[in-house]
Amino acid sequence: MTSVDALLERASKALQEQNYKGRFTYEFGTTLETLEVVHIVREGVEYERITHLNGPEREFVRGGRDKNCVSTGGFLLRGGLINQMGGAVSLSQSYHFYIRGRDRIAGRDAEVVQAVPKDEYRYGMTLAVDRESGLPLMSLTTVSNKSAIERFQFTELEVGSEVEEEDISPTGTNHAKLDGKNLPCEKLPQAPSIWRAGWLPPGFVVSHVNSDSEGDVLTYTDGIASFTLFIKPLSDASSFKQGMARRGATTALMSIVSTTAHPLGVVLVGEVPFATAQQVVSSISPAAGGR
Amino acid sequence: MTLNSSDQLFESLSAMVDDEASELEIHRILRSMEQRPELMERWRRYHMIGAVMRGEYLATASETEKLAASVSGSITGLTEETTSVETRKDPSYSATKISGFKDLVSKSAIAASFAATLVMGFHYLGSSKENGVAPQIAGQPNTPAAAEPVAVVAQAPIGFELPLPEARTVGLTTGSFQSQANEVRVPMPAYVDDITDYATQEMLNRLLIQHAERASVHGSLGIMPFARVHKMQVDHQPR
Repeated sequence: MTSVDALLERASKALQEQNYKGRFTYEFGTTLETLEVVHIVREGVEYERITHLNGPEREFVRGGRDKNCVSTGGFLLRGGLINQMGGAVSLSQSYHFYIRGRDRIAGRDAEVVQAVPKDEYRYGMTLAVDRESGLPLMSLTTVSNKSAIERFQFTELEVGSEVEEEDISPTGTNHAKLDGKNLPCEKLPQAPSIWRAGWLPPGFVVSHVNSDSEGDVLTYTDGIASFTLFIKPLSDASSFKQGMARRGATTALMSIVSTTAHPLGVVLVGEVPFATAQQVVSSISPAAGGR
Repeated sequence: MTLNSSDQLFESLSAMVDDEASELEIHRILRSMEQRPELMERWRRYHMIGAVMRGEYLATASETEKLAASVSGSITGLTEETTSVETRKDPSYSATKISGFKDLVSKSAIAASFAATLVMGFHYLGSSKENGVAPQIAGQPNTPAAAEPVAVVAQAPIGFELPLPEARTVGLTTGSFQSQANEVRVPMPAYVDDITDYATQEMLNRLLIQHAERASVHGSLGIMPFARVHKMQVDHQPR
């Protein structure tokens, strides 16, 4: 029987190293969307394209990431341990894992693994991994360990087939080109952060730090779930809209936090429960040596 | 010593929080709340204390006002419906019994309706599009991932007792709020697709794309998190 560790490591590697092309559905509530994905590796570099097939035209084309680049999340998913605050963080600290037997998805045999959160700060996940290629064929984000709030599921998938140049070129005018070279390629981010979350759910580590027009941007992950904080000092707090919104498993919390002379406009976007988002946002403060 | 009208209202309010107010008191409080914002504030404080004690989530003043208005609106309809149903069912029923039963049903229903509306207010998220929110609230404890005791799950032997997730995707209730020093208030719960303010919508879309870009390298789904991006500007070039 395949071990959970081996399955997750295989899935993480397959997503980066395999050539594949397929269609999958994204479902939440009563919404069902269909998408097409293409992923190839050429001379050690990843190229990928994801296209929404219904609703407004949307397409993302990304290239340039080294296929051997392992992010913080990828490292955790592959069973790695990360030192943080004098302690070691691993995926098994955050979830219990159970092998759930086999299933058949998109005409392919899959091994099903269920991740049950050890606390209320994150959602659960059930992943069906293709027995042949190691690619995830289905992912359910679950709450209360029973109900799915979001599902990705392939309906067709070709693995290892020849992919033409046009398969990774934009198909329409409404597309965004993303530079994969910008993505983090180390276990922990090198850039210092100006702000810090004083409280994090156990098992989450900072995985990406940078500054741009949205302010200081910090991403945290536990290897399965992730959330991103956008933090910007506000000169006019009245213009900042506070509130929250949700779509599928994604929570967006917009809030003003007063920790310094200037109030901060903080937006958290991520696949975590609202209570977690609220607790993280309320704990934002300047990092040691920061502003 | 006699109580002035404010004291009486506050006492009634306190009774209402404890579910001990009469129907008359509830009506009077709801009417008074329209003219006296301090009542609303006091109700909010009372409820907040109760919610914290129970480990539940807190509402903001603006949410509570909307809820009170919706409850006020529902009371008339509720009373009328109760009367007509009883009369239709048993025309010979004595006026006293009808009145007594109506009072009982009506009072309980108003209290329940008020409480339920508050809960719905807290958990408004996605209610317009994600079916299943209300039943989930009614049938489950007010906790998200911890709606089932994690300890029990953790002790389940591998492969047993732990149900596989239901295949149908459902709406989501928000989680319990843990008391903390810097409470974050969120006056505008909404469904992403329902945000009508253009600037906020645009900002959220930009941030969703940025987050999807990061989530796609830190999770177990590859580039699939981009499926979560709902809208995109033609000329937008995320870095």
